[in-house]
Amino acid sequence: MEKEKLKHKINYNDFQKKCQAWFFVGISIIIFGFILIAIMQKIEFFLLLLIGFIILVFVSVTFNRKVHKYKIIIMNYLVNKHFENPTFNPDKGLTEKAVYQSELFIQADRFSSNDYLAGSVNGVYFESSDIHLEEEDSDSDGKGSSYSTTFLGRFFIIDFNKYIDARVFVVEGHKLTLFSRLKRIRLESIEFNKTFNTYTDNDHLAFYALTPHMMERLLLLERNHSGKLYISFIHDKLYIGIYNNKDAFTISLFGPTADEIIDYFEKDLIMIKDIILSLGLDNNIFKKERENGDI
Amino acid sequence: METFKIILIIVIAILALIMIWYIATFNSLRRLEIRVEESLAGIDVALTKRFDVLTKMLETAKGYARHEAETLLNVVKQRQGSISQMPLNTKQEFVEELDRLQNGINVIVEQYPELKSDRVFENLQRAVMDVEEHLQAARRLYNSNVRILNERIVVFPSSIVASTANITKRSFFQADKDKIEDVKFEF
Repeated sequence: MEKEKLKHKINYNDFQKKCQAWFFVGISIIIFGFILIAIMQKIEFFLLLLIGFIILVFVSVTFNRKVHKYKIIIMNYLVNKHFENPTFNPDKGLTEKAVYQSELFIQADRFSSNDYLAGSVNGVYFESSDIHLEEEDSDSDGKGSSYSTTFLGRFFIIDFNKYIDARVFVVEGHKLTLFSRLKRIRLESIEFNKTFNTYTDNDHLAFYALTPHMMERLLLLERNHSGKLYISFIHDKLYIGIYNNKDAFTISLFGPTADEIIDYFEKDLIMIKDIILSLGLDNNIFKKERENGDI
Repeated sequence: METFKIILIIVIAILALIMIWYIATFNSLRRLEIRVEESLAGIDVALTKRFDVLTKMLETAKGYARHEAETLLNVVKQRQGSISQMPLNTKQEFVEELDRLQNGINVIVEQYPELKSDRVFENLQRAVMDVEEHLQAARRLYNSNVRILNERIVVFPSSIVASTANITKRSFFQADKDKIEDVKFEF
């Protein structure tokens, strides 16, 4: 399906304009209602507020319901274009267990995930989803509590082409509590050491995973993406978290048009491809050797 | 008398602090030395593995190119002694020898393309690639530890402890870049 056909099929722009128009109608009625109540001081005008409110709720429900369908259509088109055996499910996400296996995060008080995407790039299997981790903070008087975000962004689990029988963490900024039992190491690249802190329980395997090429590519990844990078190499998996405070693959009422949405979504998907290909994870020469048994 | 006591206490305190600092610096230098030795042992392990895999490759190649493989195997058999006992420069020479051996195997593969399809040989080729990566990692780790140790040895005031404890600078494990690039893996 071509992009134009896709745009025609979903006919999003007209729908968005209609929803925006109804939204303004609802808001106008509410404002008008308030003005009348203020001037005339008659309780009957509360009916206008109610009508306005009902219109807003109706617009919101209709928009979200349809957008959900549009999103699935767009993403199915795009993931089939870019990945092998893709799966996309906006209502599902990576499980808590899968995310915590990365050992990059302390168990959060609240965990949510959505926009699950899985597939392969040149035979390299990956899974990803948006994840949101929150910590509960008690108020100073101890009566109430609120939640503060500790991570919001995209998280990837990618098959790594080497087997790392250790734990290697590469993070931006200090995370002393989490890695206090591990040794902080310095690699040869001054720039890499300035940008990232590397923690491990096995120096040799850290150097084995973080080749000069890998370090260079991780620096490039950091430069090309806003937000903080959280990376871990554990066994045959590479975990990458991009903490950018963004919810990927979202469509909002006053957001971009269909053309731009398709481009934004595609850009995010190309990013996944870039990560796998630029890190050379499709070079499975070491992996095949393991699969065939150690020599 | 009081003043003398205070001066004495201050002198003792300063001497104690110097002693604590000396012991701490001495221990940290010794620990760095141990790390250097450990990482050198990592190079030995990787070199031994690479040597073994290349030997196995030659043994497998014998089935296709008996004469060429045996010639290379004879060269291999001349290698005497344990890798861990070798001084650093001999280890570096050994790496170059292994590179030449790898090149020799590549020549055999070019002459006998059917060798490429041999399953055991194919697995060994993959293994040697992985071993090479481990060797590079071990070399980089060793050089990194040597750099840290050497820095501590030359920088004041730890240089004082290093000279009194006879802790000397270590040589880096130089990988001849041109020679590494010469080693191509034929698939």
